[in-house]
Amino acid sequence: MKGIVFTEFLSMIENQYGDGVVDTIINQSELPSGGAYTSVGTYDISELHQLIKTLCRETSCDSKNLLNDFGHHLFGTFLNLYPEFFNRCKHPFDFLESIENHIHREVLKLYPDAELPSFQTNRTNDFKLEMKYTSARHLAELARGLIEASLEHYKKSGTVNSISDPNHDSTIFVIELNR
Amino acid sequence: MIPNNSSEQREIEILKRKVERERKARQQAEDFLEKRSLELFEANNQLKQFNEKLEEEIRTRNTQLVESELRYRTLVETAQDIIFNISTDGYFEFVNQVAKELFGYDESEIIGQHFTEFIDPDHVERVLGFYIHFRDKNEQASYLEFPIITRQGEHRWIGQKVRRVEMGNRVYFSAYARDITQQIESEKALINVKEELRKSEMKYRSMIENMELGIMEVDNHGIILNAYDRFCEMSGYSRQELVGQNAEELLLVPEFKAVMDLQHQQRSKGIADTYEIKLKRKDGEEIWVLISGAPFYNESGEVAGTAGIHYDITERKNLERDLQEARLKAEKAQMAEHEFLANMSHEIRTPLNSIIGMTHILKESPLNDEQHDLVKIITHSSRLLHSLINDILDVSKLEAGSVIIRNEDFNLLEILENIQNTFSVKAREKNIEVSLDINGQLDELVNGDPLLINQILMNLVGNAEKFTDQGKICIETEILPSESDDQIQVRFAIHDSGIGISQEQLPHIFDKFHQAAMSSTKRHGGTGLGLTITQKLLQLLGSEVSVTSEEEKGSTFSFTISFGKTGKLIRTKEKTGNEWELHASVRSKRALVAEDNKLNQKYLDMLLAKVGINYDLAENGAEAIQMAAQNSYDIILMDIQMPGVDGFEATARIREITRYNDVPIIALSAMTMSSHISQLEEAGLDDLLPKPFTPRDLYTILNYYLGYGSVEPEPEFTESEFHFSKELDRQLLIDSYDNDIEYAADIFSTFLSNTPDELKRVQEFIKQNKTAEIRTIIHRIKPTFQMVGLPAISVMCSDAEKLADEKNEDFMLKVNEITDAFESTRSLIISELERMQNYIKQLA
Repeated sequence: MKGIVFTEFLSMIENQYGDGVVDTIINQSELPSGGAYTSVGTYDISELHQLIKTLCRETSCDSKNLLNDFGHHLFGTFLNLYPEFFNRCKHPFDFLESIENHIHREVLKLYPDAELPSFQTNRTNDFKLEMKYTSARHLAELARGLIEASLEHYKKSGTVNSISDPNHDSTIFVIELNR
Repeated sequence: MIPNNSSEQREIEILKRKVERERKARQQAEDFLEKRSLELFEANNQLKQFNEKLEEEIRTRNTQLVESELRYRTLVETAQDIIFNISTDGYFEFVNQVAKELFGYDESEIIGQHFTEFIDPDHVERVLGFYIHFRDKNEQASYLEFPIITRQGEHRWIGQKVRRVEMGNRVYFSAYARDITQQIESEKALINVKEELRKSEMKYRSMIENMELGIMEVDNHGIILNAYDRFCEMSGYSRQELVGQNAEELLLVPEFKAVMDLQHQQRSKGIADTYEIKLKRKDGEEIWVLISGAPFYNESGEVAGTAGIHYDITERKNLERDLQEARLKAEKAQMAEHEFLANMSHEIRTPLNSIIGMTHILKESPLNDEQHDLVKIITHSSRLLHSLINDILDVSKLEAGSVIIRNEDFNLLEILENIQNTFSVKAREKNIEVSLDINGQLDELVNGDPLLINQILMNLVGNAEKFTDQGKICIETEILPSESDDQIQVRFAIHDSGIGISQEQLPHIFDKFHQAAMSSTKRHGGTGLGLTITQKLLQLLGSEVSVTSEEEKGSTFSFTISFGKTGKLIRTKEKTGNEWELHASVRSKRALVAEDNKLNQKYLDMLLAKVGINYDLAENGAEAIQMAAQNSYDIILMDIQMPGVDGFEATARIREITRYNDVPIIALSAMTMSSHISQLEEAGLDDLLPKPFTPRDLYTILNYYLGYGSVEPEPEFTESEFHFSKELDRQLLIDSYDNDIEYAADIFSTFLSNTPDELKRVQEFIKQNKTAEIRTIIHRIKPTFQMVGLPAISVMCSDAEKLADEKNEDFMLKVNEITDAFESTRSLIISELERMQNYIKQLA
């Protein structure tokens, strides 16, 4: 898992709960990296799950909500860092479709070792899109947060429903925009 | 600053840890960046190297391209062919050196010009049309020949191959061309030659046509391909009527089909020939044509048909027919003359015979001197008349070609001696010596025609005697070296010391009725035919008489004749001296004389009584047959022309009586024509005593048929006790073996073991008709018969060889005769061998 996920997660925790909580969850988690993350580095996914688990225990928050929030947060980070990815699209579905086809391809050029999830899309029309998230990391909620944030970014409202298929590490999101 | 409480202390701790994490993270990031930066550097380096390599490769490729272009350019420039490129609309874009040289223009003068500028204006349209078609149909390649005009105004033919070339979007034509001017010129020359040939053919054809020769050409099936005017005229058909017809069916007169078939065979073998046939004209008239036919050939050299040149020879044929008729008439006339002569001679001879015969008798009777002189005159005149008739008859026979040359074994020496004796008696009266000079051995019988030789010698010696009044006559013979083993060449020369012949007369002495001096006919008598006959007789024998002469000194007549060798030695010289003397044995014989003429009866009675021969007389043929049947005679003298049953018939009937099979029957006749002689033989008569005959002629015949052989003394065998059989040639065997009977037995034994095998092989070869092989064997065994005392079979072998050399069909018959002869004597040889072996045992 790329380091930016860790640095942005800790940044969001620090913003929400302050340095102390960050320090605590790092200390309470057994992390091979010792919690020192850089965005250009690569770390094991289990460290993220440990940090989430420890945080939820410390703050009694829901891990699903936490990941959803993190999705929203991460979208904002990406928007800041890589605005061109977003500017080239006018419609949220265009953007969502470009993740698999365009953005991930660009990511792999920079980080050939990046292990990226798969986002297969199937657009029924400009108001309905099915998006199948497949990843061994089980961060479907993070994906949902990202999808919701993108709708918001393109100023669209609608619903995001999901059907998960645990046997195949996949979740299908059915995105329907309001007319 | 000193922390004042635990909370601060803790914050400090948290910050410291945070800073520591930040530091560690930075460190990680720096490591990562350094690593990535190193990777980048290396990647950069690799890129740089790759780039350099690419640049190097591009440089190499460029160089290669330049070289390659140079190579192709050199190739194009130095090529023997014209090479150029033109745009699709026909403008020159490139030309090579050869093209420039051929066109005679610089590159700058050609490039950019349209190709039609250089083409012979007469051909522009054709070439342009061709290339527009080529271009518009998008064809890939083409070939065309056309002439161009060079700067010097010369016409050059080129053969041009054009290929369409596509380079990216660009299309142009690339052409390769070759100067074919020479080729075109030789083709034109060939066409000219062909034209010349055609003209020449036309010329000769019209010449032949003008020469009244009709030409017709037929194919191999006899179908008329062409007929020319003169032939049409000849046949009466038009050309259209002839062409396509079967020549034979339309024109040939059917009886000449066989001639044509033979010609077809010849023609198919490519043999030309000339022949004469009859053609039927359209109007049904038949004409004779002389045809010279020759095969003609197609371009592949096969016989394509026959060309016949026809020449109308109808007129010539008619003339020939007339001539033939005239000739036949003439021949008939000649025959009639011949017959007339023969009959006349018969009619004259019969009474003459009586005159001579009676004169002979009269001379023997008591006469006074005057009477004696008269008788002498009668004798002389009648003899002269006799010889005159003989000569005329001889000339007529010779001229009619009816003299038959005989081949028989005879004693040449005897003939020579007889002639010498005959003329010696006559010449003695004029005190002239007649000598005989024999150079070389004449000790065997020779094969030839004794009658002709005798006549020739008689004529020449008689001539010498006639023209010689003093001195001598010499008959000289010389044996010349012979070209072959079975021939003997004898040169005869008759020298006289007579009046001789002048140089002016010499060329004419062989002319008919000519004598050296016209006056000499009177002085010397004779017909003037003697030398003519002699010369003709010698020509018949393949010889020629030559003469040398000096007036008042004498003449020499000489000639050379080849005789067959017989190997038969002359053992006893027959007595020739006394004409009245007969062998003792002859006198005891009994004769039958058939003769209707009283005078002849008397003559014969006188002659036979004189030598004491008993005879019975038959007045005619019927009587003769009856008497022959009733009695037994040792010889019969038979007149031919008798009333009723003639001599021929009588002889045939007598021959039917078994005991007369081998009894000699002698014809008495004045008919001496060759046709009569063959008739005599057919009738079974053995010999002819021509009338008139002298007593000597009669006695010779009697001696010959009754005396020969039986009076010969038994050979004496003093040295050997072994006596060879009388049936073999004893003398020959004694000569061969002396007294060495063991040697003889050896030879006989070898002969008996070899000869049957040889003859068996001969029979095999006869079946296979291998003449040459048979001849070889016959030649091989020929001497062996002589070695066992059978020279007669050796002679048969010689005869057979001769027949083989002459390709005579009788050869095989002769060979069979040899085989039969051997078979019939085989037992004799076997018993002879046994006797020899017994004799040898006794001696041991």
